[in-house]
Amino acid sequence: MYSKKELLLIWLDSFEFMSGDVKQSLFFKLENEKDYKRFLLENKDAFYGVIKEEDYNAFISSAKKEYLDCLLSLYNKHGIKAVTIESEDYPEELKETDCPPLVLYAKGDLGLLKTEKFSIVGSRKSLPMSINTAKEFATSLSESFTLITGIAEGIDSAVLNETLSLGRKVISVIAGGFFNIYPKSNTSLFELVSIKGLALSENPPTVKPKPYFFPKRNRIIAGLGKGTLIVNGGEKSGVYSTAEYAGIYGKDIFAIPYGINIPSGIAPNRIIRDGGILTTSPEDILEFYGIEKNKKETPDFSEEEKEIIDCIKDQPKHVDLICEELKKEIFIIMPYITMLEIKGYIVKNGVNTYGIAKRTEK
Amino acid sequence: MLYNQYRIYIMFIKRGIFVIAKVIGYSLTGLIGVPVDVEVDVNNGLPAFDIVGLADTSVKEAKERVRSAIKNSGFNVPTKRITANFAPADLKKEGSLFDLPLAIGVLIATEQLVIDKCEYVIIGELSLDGTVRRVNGVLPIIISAIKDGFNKFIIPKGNEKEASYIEGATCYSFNTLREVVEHLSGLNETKPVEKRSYNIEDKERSYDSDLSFIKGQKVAKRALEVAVSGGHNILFVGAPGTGKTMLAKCIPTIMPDMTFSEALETTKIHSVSGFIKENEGIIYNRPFRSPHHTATTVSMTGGGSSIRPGEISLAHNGVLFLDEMPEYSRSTLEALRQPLEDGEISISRASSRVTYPANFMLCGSMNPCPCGNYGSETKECRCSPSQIAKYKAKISGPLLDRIDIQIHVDEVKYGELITDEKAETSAEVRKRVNRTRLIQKERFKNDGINTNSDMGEKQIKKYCKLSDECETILKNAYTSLGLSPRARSRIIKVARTIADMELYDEIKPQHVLEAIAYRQT
Repeated sequence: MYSKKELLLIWLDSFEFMSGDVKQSLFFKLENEKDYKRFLLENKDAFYGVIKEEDYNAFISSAKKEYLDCLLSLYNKHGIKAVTIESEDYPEELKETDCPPLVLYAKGDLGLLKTEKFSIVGSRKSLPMSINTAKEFATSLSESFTLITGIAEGIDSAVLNETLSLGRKVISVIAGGFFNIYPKSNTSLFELVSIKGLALSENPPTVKPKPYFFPKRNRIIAGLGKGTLIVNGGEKSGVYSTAEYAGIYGKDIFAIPYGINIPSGIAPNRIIRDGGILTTSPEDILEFYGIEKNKKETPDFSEEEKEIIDCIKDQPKHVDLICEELKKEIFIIMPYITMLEIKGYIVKNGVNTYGIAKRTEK
Repeated sequence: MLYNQYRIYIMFIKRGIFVIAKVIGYSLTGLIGVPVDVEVDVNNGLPAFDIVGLADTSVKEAKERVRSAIKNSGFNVPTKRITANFAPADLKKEGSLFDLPLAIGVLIATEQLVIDKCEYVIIGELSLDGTVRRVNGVLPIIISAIKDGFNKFIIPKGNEKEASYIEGATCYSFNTLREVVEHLSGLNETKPVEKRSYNIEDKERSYDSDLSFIKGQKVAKRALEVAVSGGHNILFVGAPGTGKTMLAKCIPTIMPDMTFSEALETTKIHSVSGFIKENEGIIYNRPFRSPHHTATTVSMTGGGSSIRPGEISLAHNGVLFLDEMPEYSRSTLEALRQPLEDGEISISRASSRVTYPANFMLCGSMNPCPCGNYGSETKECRCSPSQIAKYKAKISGPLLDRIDIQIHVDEVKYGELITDEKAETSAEVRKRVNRTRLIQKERFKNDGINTNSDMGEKQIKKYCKLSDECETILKNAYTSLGLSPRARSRIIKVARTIADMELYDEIKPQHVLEAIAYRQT
């Protein structure tokens, strides 16, 4: 059950028109009061310029038990738990940050908040090779960590899908309220996460996402994780804000390097330049934290498959080029390429260009 | 008059001094010709020229052309009351092909032309100076008329070539009205048009494109060969300037030669639409139609007040190329679904209902996203994910289901390829395609279909048995490549074609793997 302080926080947090700071200061003022309504009416002058008149009136009139009961029953009905900063479940990592959310709305397994966590973020628009990289890291890191990411298309979805399909733990931090998942197409993925993993949001369920919520949300992703991996991102990517927060909070920042001509690699390259840790394989991260490496099985390649792997080992190549170099017809090469792609050893790196996906050396 | 010495017969019914003339013309409903009796009567009364019998404006205007043409050919139009009737009266008649029968009718009715019998079907347009001009739709008219029991035709000289291929028709072609009269009266008989036979080998196939012009693009070229071999529809996805249109233009060059009946069907449609050039006669080359994306639904399917064939019918036995496919209006694209399934389109209007054949291979091209750079390694895409999703959703799932091969096209940078690569010509590829098509024809001879792409679930079960190994590959491909369940039968059909190309009876794992490579990603 919620304590009186927690109920106060839940009540305060249900008002969208108040910023976090106002809520915080109100909380400190009301903390030891008995009759909130009387206190608010008596100190009305203190709120001039801070809260609009009509908002203030609505706020005061809602200071009653029925309003709170209504709120709590709504949360209950949808299986949403309100984890306040006063709660035992509230993650310690966030308390250490400069502006922790007063209430975290959670759906799913709250126990995940107490585990070791690691964040993976990236762009919504990603090349197949980046998606593949994200999956590879998710597979490897989810053995030792609960992964944290968003709910967007691209890297977020890849991490969520990969981890959930392996039956491992994952937390998705959502920018808007739970009733307004953005993008809408990922609503079913959200439902899945809230059953098999944990969905978090700092906004009450009814709040609609606004563009500035996303960088704000990124502070939670960065704050929760022990470290953050930047998979990819363009010139104006949101991963900058995640990396910035991670830097401020003193977290470890990992980034995957890209060639200088690849637009989706600008952000991680810049982050590496600014002090991020260059990461080329999940083992780099595991080693960093002193976690034992898993032994990789040595793949069993046929003669032709080995030829193709050798051909694209150094740099990704267009299919036409592979054909020319191996002096073989396209219809002989194509089945092997598809086979290698299905097995996950090579990956599309552009339209018809293939590169090595996992390190396959013995 | 010069011609009065000839006896009057059948077509003449003497009523006192008046004579009614009856000549046979032909009207077209869709591709089917309907005989029309053109009756002309000359009465005393105020001078007039009336046309009755549900004739549209182009037919009504005939009277002015006929009057001048008769005068300028050395005959005269009496200042009497002339009435022309087109029977059956409930059939709407249109087009200029009634000029010549009407003129002949007037000449007979005014006893300037006296003939034994008129068993000719007469088609032609007149110019004011009496020249007979070529008209549209001569080929389907002759074919229908032969079925109706007619076998002698008077046609314009300009239509002589397309008429010369038809068995059982004796056609006489003329340049002027005077020549027609001289022939009918027996004064100066013309020889019938010489018969031609359809022989594809004589005719050098002349296309502007050839596969050998395209450098690189190995995946796309191979996919093209597979598509044509199995009659699969194909969609190219690629950034602007990667050669999608050039590849599409090569499709007709590697398609198997048209048989005579195919050529005749295609020519019929083009004849009705007036797309046959005077020196062409019959269409040897498979048509390649690429309507612009502003095309309306009616222009695509066919229709209009006089129900003309649309682009899909003009592409019959050939290729319909839709460049920038998502830019076409939704209804236009959805209208393609039923013809893609049935190979024909029925157009129903209040006035009539017409069925045009529309058995074409669909080739589409599109960008991966509105800006064109999505998926490229080196160029940044400026579109938002929702824009990309919206762009892709413009082509509906059911339509995509009918496109078996969907591949990405890109360009290898200039200089990366070793340039002295010997590219195969279209003719070489076509030989292989012909072989693969024969295999399919043999297999499906009892199933009523021709190509692998036409296979339904029943035939897939019968002819495409997959080994356990192939099933495993397919299953793995689902999970690791994220294929949609819809893609399954598509992949199997394409694998069947690839196996046919390699002369295998069974579908082997490498065929399934290659087919998976031509899936949409």
